[in-house]
Amino acid sequence: MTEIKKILIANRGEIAVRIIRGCSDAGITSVAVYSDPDRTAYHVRAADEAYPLHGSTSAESYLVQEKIIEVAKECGAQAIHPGYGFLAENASFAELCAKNDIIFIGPTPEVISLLGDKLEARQTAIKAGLPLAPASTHDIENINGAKADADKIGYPVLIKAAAGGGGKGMRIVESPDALEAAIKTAASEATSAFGDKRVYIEKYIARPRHIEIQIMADTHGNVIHLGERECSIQRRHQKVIEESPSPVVDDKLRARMGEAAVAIARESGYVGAGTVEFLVDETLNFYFLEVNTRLQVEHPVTEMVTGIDLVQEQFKVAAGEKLTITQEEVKQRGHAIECRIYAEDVAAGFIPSTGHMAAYHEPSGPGVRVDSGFVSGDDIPVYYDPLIAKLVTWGSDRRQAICRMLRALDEYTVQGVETTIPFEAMVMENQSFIDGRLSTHFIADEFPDLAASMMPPEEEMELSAMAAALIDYRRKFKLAGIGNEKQQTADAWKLSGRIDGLRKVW
Amino acid sequence: MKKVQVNTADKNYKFELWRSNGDLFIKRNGSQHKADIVRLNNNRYSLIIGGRSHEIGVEHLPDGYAISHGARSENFRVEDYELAKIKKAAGISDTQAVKNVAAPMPGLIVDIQCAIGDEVTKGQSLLVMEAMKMENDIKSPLSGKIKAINISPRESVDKGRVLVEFE
Repeated sequence: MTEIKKILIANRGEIAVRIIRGCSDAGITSVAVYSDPDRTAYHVRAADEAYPLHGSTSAESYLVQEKIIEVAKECGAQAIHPGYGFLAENASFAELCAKNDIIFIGPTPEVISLLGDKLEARQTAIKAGLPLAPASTHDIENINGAKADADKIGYPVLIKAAAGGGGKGMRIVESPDALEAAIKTAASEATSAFGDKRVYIEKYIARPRHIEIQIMADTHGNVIHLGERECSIQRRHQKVIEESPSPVVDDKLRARMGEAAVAIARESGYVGAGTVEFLVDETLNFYFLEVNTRLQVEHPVTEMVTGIDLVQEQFKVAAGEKLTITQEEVKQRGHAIECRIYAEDVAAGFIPSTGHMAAYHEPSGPGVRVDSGFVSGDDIPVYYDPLIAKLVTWGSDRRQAICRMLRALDEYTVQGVETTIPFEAMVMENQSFIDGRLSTHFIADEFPDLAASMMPPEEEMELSAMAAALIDYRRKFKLAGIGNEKQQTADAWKLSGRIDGLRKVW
Repeated sequence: MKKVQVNTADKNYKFELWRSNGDLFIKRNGSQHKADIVRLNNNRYSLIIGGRSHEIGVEHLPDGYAISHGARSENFRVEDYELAKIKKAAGISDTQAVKNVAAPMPGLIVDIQCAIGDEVTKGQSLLVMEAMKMENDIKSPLSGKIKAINISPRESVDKGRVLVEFE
């Protein structure tokens, strides 16, 4: 066991701030690193120590492994927390840490590479007995073999590139007669995208839910799961709204999914916090998708319902201590929802919106948690992910969590950049969402014309127009001279206050 | 009393404003409200209209105001109602129609999906830009014919750069 006294956080934005807070909570000294544009970023101000990495882009700063190791050694940090993104799932970085006698807060390099490779992760899942979507076990050699495979799997099927990713070389096939043509186009797409023409057939799950299990493992062989998170609401394969528990997962299903997640963790020799992702079909069959070997963006919803601080557990595991909780002690209480507040123009198709935040005010009050990396007056830099904050609400039940989310979204002020806030408020009032009818196609299904759905309601437009008229009227009135208008009021205080108000304005 | 017309890109609102006994009033479509507007700090204002309390953000633009309410922001131009009427009668339109597509953020042009002379429809993807670690579809803001394409694939552009022009 090592006593960890100082941790370097190799990240920026809200997750760096979250981990810095975790350090303070544990009495550990926090070390921030920063790129040139992040010199005054909130994570730098919040940390106990801060050292420059120089450079502007991620590739010049937060991704330069040697620089980060050098800073850690110079300042005497015993451990590095990678957050998510950047170097979080980089096996060579974990290895470099080990070589320099620095604790990497996460699983071993071997586990990271094993689970990071889709095919190897699939094999590990098979060994651990996890359910997988039916698929052809080999790449397709000829059309007759493909037809036999597809018949066995059952239509609709998905043609996938073996080397694939990002939807390239992927085709949905509804019936046998379309199979041959789809294989040909998928293979040619795969060739041009990856230089590898191999494709295989997988069962197409029409309207899946994305449900994942949080796991936590120590170096003493203890592995537990902390229940599920439903993350079905996604845009371009990225989550926007998450919740725990899932509206469709009951105790039985939770136990089965949890056992599956623990099984793959054991099979791979997992240590630390991790997430096992599953697709769940309409009849609640679940299929292994992948393992994320890091702390997830959406980890707060699990913390809110279980009362377990995952970052504290990560610290303990990294120091070689045992988990402080057993599986029996993990209980879900109430319901938590997270909305990711992105600086994005939703109506334009979720396009990043950068700029200066002229005004910024975070909501608070009962059941509200905000994990953010910005304060008023900050700029949203162009170099990094446009995530401003994660807004999490907790309620004794799902209904209360939704009501609190609506209230908190309404209280949230962001002036100067477009955000996903109006979109999320719209989702909270959507009947399918309220009923818990979710799938990864939710946004396309519920808001086929997103730009039209995002049009502000008429009363809001009218109010803003009225505000413009009032501002303009008072401005012109002032230009004409305050004293010119006949004042009939006898209330001197009111008058004085108003004149004072005008002075401040103009 | 003052009559004004407040214009957005595609709508207009007519209001009457006046003061009485030191209070400010605003009227639209026959319903009138007492209004009180107080500056808080920077660009924030507390606005109470007809007893309903709102907080708004105001940014002064060269030809109007950007008003943000909650998390939404809209641009407005305020003009004298009589003047607006005269302009309309004379056929003068000062709603500058959008005739080009500018880069919404700095980034790298990944793909161009349109060509000069193409008739495109509103919402159609014109090009793909990579920015903030993501590929973003840049969609057409209007239906029309493309006059010029000012960029080529793999080119880096600054925010505001005119990418595509319409006839």
